[in-house]
Amino acid sequence: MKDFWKLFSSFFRVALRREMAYRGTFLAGIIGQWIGYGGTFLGIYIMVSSFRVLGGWNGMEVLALYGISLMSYAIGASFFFNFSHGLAGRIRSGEFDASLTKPIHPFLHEVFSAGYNVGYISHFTVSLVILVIALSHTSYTPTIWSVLFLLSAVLGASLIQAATLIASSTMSFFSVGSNPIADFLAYDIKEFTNYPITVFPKGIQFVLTFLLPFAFMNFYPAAALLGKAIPEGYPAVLPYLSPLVGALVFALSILLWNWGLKHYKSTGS
Amino acid sequence: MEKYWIVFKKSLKSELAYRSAALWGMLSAALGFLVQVFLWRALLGTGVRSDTSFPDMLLYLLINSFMLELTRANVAGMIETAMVDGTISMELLRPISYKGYMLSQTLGKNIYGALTATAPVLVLSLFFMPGAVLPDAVHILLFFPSALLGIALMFEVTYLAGLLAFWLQRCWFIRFYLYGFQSIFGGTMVPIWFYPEFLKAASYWLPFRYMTFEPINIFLMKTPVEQAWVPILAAFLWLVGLSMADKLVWRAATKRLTVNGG
Repeated sequence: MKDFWKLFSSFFRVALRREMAYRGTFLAGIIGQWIGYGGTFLGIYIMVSSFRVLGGWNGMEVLALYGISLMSYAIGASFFFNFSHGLAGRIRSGEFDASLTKPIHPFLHEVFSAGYNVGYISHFTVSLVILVIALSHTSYTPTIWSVLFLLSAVLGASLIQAATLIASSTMSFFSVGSNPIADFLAYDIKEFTNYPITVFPKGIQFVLTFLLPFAFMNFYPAAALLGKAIPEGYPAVLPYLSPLVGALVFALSILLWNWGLKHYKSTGS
Repeated sequence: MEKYWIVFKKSLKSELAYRSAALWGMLSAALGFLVQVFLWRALLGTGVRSDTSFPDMLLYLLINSFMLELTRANVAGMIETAMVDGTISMELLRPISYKGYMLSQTLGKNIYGALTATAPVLVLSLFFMPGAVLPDAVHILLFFPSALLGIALMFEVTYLAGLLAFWLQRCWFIRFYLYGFQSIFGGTMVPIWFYPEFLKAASYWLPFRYMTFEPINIFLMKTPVEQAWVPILAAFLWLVGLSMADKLVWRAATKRLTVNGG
């Protein structure tokens, strides 16, 4: 475990130095993402508040919903984005094969050497600011328990986001071209979670809860925090399961990745 | 003109090579549209606003996404890559304007995606909008110049921002600024008629609302015929002004550019 942290921190320092090489660009990128995501938050707020309510949620509540999702993406992706999106390229160029010869598990070596993505600090800061503003305008009251619950929910959500990235990179073991199926699962399906799932038909609610459990990322924990109804007939315990679901899908995604690795044949270059 | 046509065709052809990407693009567009359909059904179902009908809203979303898809360009990225690998020196030698070259390349690349991604969405939407009111002939006639100006304006802004690549080391973030300004001031996410007053007022001072919002307003007959000249003229003036600006920026950029070796 001590070695793990030593390894992680030395890889982390390298990643930070790489990003900071172009300081102006780094800053301009962060501001750009504030504006880009700020626009999305503003749009959602204008949309919901001009109709007062969306599926039982008001503008600020929907902002909190999206805030949790973006924050968990920032955390999950800062560790796994480079890894997930770089894997196909590293397999194509043959660099990946070097990971197989290292004295640590190839998965860990890939994650470490792909590097921590410092750029997600922009997603994190914008989502934190919006989440605090939004929650202070809702019925949410910060107590030790509700804050702990929120933190554990964000942790669970981050694990779901990470699992999505890990699972989608598994495709690279079978085809090194562009990866539209993975992108479809990872980005397009997730678009449903920007809004309360109660506005969608029953079939979609079922998929997002039991098959691709994206609803545990933000909908269920936010529903518990804000006292919102969950789909009719669903177990009342669901809003409290995010950390569990997160840990489960994270473990499953690593198993899937290792299964993919077993079927990997080097490109031989 | 013919040389631009060649660039357009070449760029279109290279897109045709990826058939399966088109399939997934189609699915992705359909799913994204489906999210919007349920979302707006829930919103309009509240009955709070009576100024927008469901079919109007769907038409708004469809035309908006088609126009955005058509002009989606990464000019900054293209210039950045060309500078890094040195192909920029070849591109500048060609007897063709760089802007025209970028425009034909962008359109060739996007037209395929716009048709394959939006066509199925159109079919899908027919199920949801039996009550759609199509515009009369005059509004359609006004819509086309307005939409063409909107598309030209969108490309113009993307191109102008893309020229910044000559000064920056990396420019992946430029599209975030454009995306943000478009969704804040251009109504690409929520129609401007839902905006609070201050934001509505601010949008008149920037070019973004003339890109997709005003053309669609004409199509939906929300702009009366006798007032349609205002947004069309405004779009035209923005286009002229920004074209002059891009010439100045281009001159400064090429003066600055040094290509090392080959």
